[in-house]
Amino acid sequence: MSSRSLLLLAEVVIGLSCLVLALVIVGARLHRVRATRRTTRMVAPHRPMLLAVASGEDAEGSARAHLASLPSATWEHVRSTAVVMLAKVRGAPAETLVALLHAHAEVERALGWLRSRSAVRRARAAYLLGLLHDPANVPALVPLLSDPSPDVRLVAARSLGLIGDPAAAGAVLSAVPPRDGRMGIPAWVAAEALLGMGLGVAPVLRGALASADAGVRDVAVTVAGAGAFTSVLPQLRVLLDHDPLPEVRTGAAVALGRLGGPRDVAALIRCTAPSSPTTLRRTCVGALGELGDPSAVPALTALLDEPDRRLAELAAEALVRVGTAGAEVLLRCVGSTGPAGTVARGALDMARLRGQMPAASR
Amino acid sequence: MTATSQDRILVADDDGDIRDLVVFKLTQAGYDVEAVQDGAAAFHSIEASPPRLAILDVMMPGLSGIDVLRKVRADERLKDLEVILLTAKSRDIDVDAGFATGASDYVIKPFSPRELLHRVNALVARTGV
Amino acid sequence: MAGLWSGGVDALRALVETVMAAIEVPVLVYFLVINTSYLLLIGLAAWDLIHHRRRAEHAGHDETVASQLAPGVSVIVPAYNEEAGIVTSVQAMLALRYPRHEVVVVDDGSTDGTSDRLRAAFDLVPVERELPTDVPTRAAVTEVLVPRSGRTRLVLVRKNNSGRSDAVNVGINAASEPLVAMVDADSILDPDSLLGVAKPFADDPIRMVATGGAIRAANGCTVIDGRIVQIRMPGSRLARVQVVEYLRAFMLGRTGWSRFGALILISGAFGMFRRDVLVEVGGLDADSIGEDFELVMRIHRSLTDQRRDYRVQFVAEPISWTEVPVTARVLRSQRRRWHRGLWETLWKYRGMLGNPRYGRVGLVALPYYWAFELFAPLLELAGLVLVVLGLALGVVNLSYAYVFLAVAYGYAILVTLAAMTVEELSFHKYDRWRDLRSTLAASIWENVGYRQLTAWWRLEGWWAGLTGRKQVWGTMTRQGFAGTQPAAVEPALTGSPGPGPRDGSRG
Repeated sequence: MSSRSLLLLAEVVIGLSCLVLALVIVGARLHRVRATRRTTRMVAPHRPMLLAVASGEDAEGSARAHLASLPSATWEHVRSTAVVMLAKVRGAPAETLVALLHAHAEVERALGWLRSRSAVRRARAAYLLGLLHDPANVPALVPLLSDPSPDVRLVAARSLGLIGDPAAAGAVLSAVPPRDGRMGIPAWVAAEALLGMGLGVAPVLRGALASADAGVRDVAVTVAGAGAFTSVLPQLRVLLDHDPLPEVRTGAAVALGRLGGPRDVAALIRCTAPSSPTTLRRTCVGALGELGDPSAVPALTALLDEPDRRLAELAAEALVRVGTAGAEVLLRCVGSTGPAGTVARGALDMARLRGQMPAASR
Repeated sequence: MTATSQDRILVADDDGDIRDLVVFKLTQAGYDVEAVQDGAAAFHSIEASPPRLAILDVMMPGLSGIDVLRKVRADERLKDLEVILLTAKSRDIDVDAGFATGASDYVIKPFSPRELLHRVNALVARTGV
Repeated sequence: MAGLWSGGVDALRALVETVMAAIEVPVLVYFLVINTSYLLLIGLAAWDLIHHRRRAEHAGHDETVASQLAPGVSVIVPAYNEEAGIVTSVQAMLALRYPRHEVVVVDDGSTDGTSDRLRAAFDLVPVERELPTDVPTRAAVTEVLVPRSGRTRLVLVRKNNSGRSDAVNVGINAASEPLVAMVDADSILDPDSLLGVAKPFADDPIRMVATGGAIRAANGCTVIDGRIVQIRMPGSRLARVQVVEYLRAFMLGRTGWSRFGALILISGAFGMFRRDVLVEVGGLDADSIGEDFELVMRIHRSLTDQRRDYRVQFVAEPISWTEVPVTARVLRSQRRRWHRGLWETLWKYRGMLGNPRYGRVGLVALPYYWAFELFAPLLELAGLVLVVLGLALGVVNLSYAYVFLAVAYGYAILVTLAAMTVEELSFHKYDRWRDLRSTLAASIWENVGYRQLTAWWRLEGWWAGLTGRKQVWGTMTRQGFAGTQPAAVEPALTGSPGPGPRDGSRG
């Protein structure tokens, strides 16, 4: 074939393909416009009833009964709005919406979809089951923490957190370390899931703080601090001083700042030494401010001259939070032209703006 | 607790579902409800004719709920308006900021419509006639 | 005399004939390969987009907003003479849906009222704050201001003028959150944009180091209070063509590369990075023209050399809108700058080219960029010139030339149509039928006329880079987006180093 006829052939192929694509574009648009109109038309008469149910104004249950008896073709369109509303409300209306979903066998379908070959379906099903807040679904969700798709693992962890059953805490924690070449679930997602499960996770937490896996310990200290688990204070103290991973020590410092007391000041001060990692030093200084114990003032004052200026800044902020004793130190430094003076003035400026100045030194 | 017919409430949220839910609930309870989509429209409406109470979402385009609240509290004529912040921002620091700016109440999403109504009723009863 | 002339013409004809015979096939092959590669990228991107859309429902954006522990973001906004729209812009950025973020505006020595307007609008007061020097910077900081209420998370850093890159570096120093987003002051962000670009970090916090967001043209859109309220195709034909171009090159090209695992360019107009990695590599290079491209290449090199497991990802959901040039003058200046930046960065990192140590970046992405981004304008124009010359000299007959060009450009139009199809099936942001018509028309003009024009401008930029001419930055003045009128744009060339270069090359 001559090059010219090849070119002609190519031209024809290209021309036809362009035409096909143009038609696809127009066709897709037409289809979409029609489908949207159709959905709106089908949902419109039922939306007020959905609002009634979702706002808890359906005392006699007539709206719910009406929605429960919708033919499945109509329900298909109403369902997504119902799920969206379920995510936005809580209390009795949420329970009614859940009952509505049950009435249309959505829950059975979701449970079935958990075993689907499509990762998107599994994830959607896991998401819906989370919104139902029903502990009965926990056994079905736990296996998804080892799902091949990272997306599904994430949604499963979140949903278990939403359901809030502490029985799932151990499973969520075991999903944190990487396994079989798969990434674990992110630490903050696991921590939030555990926080959603309430104080019942305390026994699991104690075990996790002693785990051989650094990631699990990291999650555990985050949960301990954010969730006020005072029963694990002794373990947190040990981790602050001895854990091999700096992130865990930092998390322990945060937790001690929130939950600890005067006896923890010395340990936190020790960790602000120059030999500690930067993040740990900075976090310990913040923790000393959070504790608010005046015995920390001398150590914090010494840090105002630190070569690490961010650390000095944080030390000054901590002095403000400690209270009168700390504020007095800063006021004394205000006139100084050195670095301590700058940092002191800066911290006092911010404190005044936020209305945090202790009354005596305003 | 029933509302009097002159009790007007302003609801501002860029989420249509939340707007519709709150409007529905409060209307059923007897209030006269106006709904807007963003902060600028909310402040404009409050300025033009102050409602009995305003329910503001925090994360809205233009002026946020906190911005509107601040402007309201800074205005001599409007500063006593009861304002409920309705928002997904649930961290302590956000709640603190909300109350520090002068919110009368702070409701976190997902919210209970019934609880919201109770809070509205309580605030309306507070200084109302 | 006539004999000499006709002898000359004959010689030229013979020359052109030989050259054409020699390069006819390679040029066609070149066109074939470049457009097929685009189709491949679009295919990869389409897969990714469909993937992405199906996950929208359970992406958990609403839940993340309510989250206690989600990683915080510092939004850095370098600003130079942006008084017209800065207040609206900053207000919109503060209102972005995200659980924990701050906005750091760096006023790069503006000579207008940028800082004054911010001061007035947000009731800013100066505080004494010494910024850390995690990233080396050049210009001195003159003032740091925060809102008087002490609660709104906004920081205004004023400094002496030294260019956008240095301003961003100052912003990095002032940032207090672990993630840093760099945003142009005149960009309009969608409310969920931070959620979108932060999600890859949230899902894979250990490995993800940089993400970029898709950028679209705001011309013609209705903007109220710093938010896009209505999406429309622009009226200006030049702007329409750029809409189509951005669609193909930015959204699909980059999504494709990201899916392939070799994304080497994140736009300076909207990128998010881990702060510790930025500090590690030293921030933006203030001397570089394509500084956003240079940064990503530096990250690739540094992390690969350290044998770290890392990822760079592109988020295709359109989340950032910017005004594109509507006059040829400003567009020309932009494209010259982009191509010069491309050349200088590719040359700087030539050690990574074809180097198996750098994996797909070195073995696939960089050779591609050299061959099909850097050299593309040269080959395109050379091919065109030869065809025209051949026609003039009678070497090539008209119908052959026509078919040749029809195939070369037709394929390119096909690629653009493919991009538009993917757009229609995924985001379909342009609702109106008349916008669809203008988009289809623009996709033709983009490939027949516009590309050749920008090819010439790109060559100019490359030449300027090769001859080491001093770069002159262009600025666009603005009337601001307050209200429904799209801002009018006036090109102005200033001699001083102004806001610094913006986006890198397309593709």
